[in-house]
Amino acid sequence: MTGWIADFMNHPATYLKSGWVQISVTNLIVISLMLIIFALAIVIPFPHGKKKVPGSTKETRK
Amino acid sequence: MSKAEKEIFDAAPWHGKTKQYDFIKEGVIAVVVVALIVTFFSFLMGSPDDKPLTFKGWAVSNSDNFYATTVQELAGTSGTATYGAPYNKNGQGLNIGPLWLQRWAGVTRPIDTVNDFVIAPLSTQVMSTDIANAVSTWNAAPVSQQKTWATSYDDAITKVEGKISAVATGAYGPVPALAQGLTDMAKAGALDAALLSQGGFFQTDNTKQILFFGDGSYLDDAGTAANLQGGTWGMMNETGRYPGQAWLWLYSFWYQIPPFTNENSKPIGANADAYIMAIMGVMSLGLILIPIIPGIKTLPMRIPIHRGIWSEYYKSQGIKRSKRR
Repeated sequence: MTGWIADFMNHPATYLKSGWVQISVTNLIVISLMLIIFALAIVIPFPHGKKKVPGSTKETRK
Repeated sequence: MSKAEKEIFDAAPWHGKTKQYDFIKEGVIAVVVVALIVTFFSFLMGSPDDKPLTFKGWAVSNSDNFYATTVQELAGTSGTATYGAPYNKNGQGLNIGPLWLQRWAGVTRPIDTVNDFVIAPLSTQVMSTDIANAVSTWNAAPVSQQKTWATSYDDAITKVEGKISAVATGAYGPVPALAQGLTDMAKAGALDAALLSQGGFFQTDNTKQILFFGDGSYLDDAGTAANLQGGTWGMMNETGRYPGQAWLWLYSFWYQIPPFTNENSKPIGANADAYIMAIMGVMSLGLILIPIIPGIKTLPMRIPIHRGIWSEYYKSQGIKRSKRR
């Protein structure tokens, strides 16, 4: 694979280190994204369909 | 609603609205969306493209280390030669107390470092007279003599810290010629193919190369440079800036803390791989058995994340978020 993005990706990664904890910036981004998506999945309300209008026969069409 | 009532309510069958739901449709949509995302990023970023490690690269970049490793293979002192099962019976292998898992599994992939790594590859070549004579002398000598030559030379190399040109002369028999022959063969690029050759059309078994690599410093140095060592969370990492196996964080975590960090501490540190495998096995079992473990199975009652997800339903049933005590 060529191209500047592939070149960029194949360079040595940057690592964050604090004591015995060490993580690459890429892994940190991926883990953060997973946690954000998980949090959003909990927080965002379910989508609502069309509310049935009392007396309407539209949704029971055969 | 009291705490007990909430628990009874949580355990009761669902009384809210229901509607038909197509799991197959959702699965298909998920697979298609993920496939599109993966394809997009594959085109955009490619995949890790590190230069392959080869015996030629090793012998050219650090010929003394390659040479010294070859002598260790002949002397039977290399990591592979002393590993034990599944390659040989020269080591006890890892254990967890009385459980000698490695030894019990037996030698399923026999490797004789002398013949598999040195003599057989040399014999595949058109050898110079010196090397051919060295191979003949080696093959004709009793095993005890072979061992004496190789061990003496290995000790002499260790004494000068691997600097081959500084090794004192001694009774090393054909060992220096064999080591030099294999080093020259590797430099020419012929050893890679010789070790891979299994007789089949497709060559897919790289066991020998990887083990031989692992006995020297070449593979180890490359692993350190790419942050792939176990002690630096390497299990989670990938070469370059690509994301690695983030889901292995818990497996990797144990390798960062004592006593697993000290491979000389017995019994746990020296058998870290086996102990960590056991810990992860127990934890995985715990995950599977969550529904029946007291204290754990009732966690959703104490950490009601589900009430956040179905907040509207709970609100409609008159259950409000409990205040933190």
